[in-house]
Amino acid sequence: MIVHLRGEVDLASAPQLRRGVYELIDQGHQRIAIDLTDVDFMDSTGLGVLIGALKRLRESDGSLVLAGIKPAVSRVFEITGLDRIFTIHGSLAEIGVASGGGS
Amino acid sequence: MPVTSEDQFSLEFTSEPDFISTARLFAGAAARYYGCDEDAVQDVKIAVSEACTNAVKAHDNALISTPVRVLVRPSGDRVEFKVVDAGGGFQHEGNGGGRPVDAEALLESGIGLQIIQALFPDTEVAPNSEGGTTVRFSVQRAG
Repeated sequence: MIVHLRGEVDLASAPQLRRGVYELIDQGHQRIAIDLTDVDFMDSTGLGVLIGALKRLRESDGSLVLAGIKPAVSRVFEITGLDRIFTIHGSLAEIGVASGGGS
Repeated sequence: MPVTSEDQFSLEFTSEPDFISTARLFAGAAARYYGCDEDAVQDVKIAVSEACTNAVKAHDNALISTPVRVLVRPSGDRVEFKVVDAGGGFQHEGNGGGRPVDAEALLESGIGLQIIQALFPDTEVAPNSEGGTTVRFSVQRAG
């Protein structure tokens, strides 16, 4: 399942992201790829949601892949060391996933 | 450093998550105004977002609705940013900055401050006269 995110992820929008991703997990999706190509900003609130999703997916032997992280967003992954925790790809095409669809 | 009042910017915003993006835009614009380079502008936006997130949460926890303030002023070859809340102080788990943080700790609060400290080593967090917390940091203006 591919999730396309758009805009900025902060305290205001993180709950929506959490709901959306957790709903997919609850529906039984085990392999989730989040395309961050159109995300211009993310702070620790967004990272917290992604960490939570990663934990839940790993508990059920699932996987979470992130792709298309912009430099402005990658900064916060590097500072927190999360660039070593997540599986991160340059783009969805890089992992052989066709773009389009998702939510 | 002598600073005149017209050299300063301030933003006061209702303590709601929806306004944190406005605070980021404001801080980024102020950093650009004072000649910070684009990398510094992005770092300022992250730090102000984290500080405002802590502030809004602190106000929420303290059940108060007073505004959060973001203050910007030049100080020599640097620009100083302050985020001022009245929220009774938030948990203070700074590690001195620079060190990658434990990923699990992301699920706890306190990570925001560690990010600010990693971005700006001169970050100071102190109680203020309004019963809340002031986060202060400064950034180099481009030569």
